Amino acid sequence: MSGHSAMSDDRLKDLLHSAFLEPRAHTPSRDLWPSIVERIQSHAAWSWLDMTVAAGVVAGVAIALLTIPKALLLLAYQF
Amino acid sequence: MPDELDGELLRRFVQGDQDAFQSLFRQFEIEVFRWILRIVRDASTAEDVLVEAFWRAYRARARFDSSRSFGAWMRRIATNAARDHLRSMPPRAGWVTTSDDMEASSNPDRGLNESVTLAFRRLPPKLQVVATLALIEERTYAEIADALDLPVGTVKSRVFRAVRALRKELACLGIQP
Repeated sequence: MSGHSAMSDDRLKDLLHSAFLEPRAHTPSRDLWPSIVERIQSHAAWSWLDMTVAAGVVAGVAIALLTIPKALLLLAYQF
Repeated sequence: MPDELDGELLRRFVQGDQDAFQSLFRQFEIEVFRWILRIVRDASTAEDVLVEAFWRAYRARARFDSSRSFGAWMRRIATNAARDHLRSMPPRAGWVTTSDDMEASSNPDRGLNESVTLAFRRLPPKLQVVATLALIEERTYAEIADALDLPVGTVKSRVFRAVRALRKELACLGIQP
C-alpha cells in the first residue's frame, strides 16, 4: 500500500480486524478422512446416472447416423 | 507445514496409494484446515473446503512432482478451493463475523462491523482472498504469492486494487476509512 495514505491504511486494517474476528477453531471438529474416502469412492466407479447418460449419448449418435447417414461426414470432418 | 516427507511416500501417493494419501492427510490436515479457515472465516465451511481440497489433490496426484514440496502444493490447492467457495457464495451472504467459532469482537459497533463485512463481500473473490491474507491475516506478499501461484507483483497489485475498491465500497456506505 502507498506510503502517503499510511494513516488511512491503518484505519482500514483496524476496521477489518474488528469486523473479521480471529477464528477460534484450530482443528476440525471431526475426523474428515471418512468424508474424503467417500468422495474418492463415489467418483471411482460410474454411477447409474453416468451410465444412463453415456448410453443415451451413444444411442442418440447411432440413431442420428442411421437416419441421417450424411451426418457421418460431419463427424468425420470434426476429426 | 510439515514437509520433510520421504520420497517413497510421495511416489506412492502419485501412484494412487490410498494409505500413502491418508498418511499425507494426517500430516497436513491441521495446517491446511487453519489456512482455509483464515480465508473462509467459518469452521464448518473450512471443513467442507478441506475435504474438497484433499479430493482435488487426490484427483490431481499424477500432476504432482514428488521432488517438490507437498505442503506448498496442497496450500495452493486449498487456496483455490477456498476462493472457489467464495465465488459460489451469493453476493450478500455475509461471512461469519460473530459466532462461537470466533473470538469476541473488540469493537462494540455491530452495525459498523456489518457494513465493513458487506463492503468486503462485494469485492471480487480473487481480491477478497488477497485482501484477507494481506490485510486481516497480515501474511507476507511472498507467502500469498506462493499460495496463489502468482508473481509477487500481481499480489501487490491485487492488494492495491482491493484496498481501493474497499475504500470506495465503504464510502458508499458512509464510512470514511
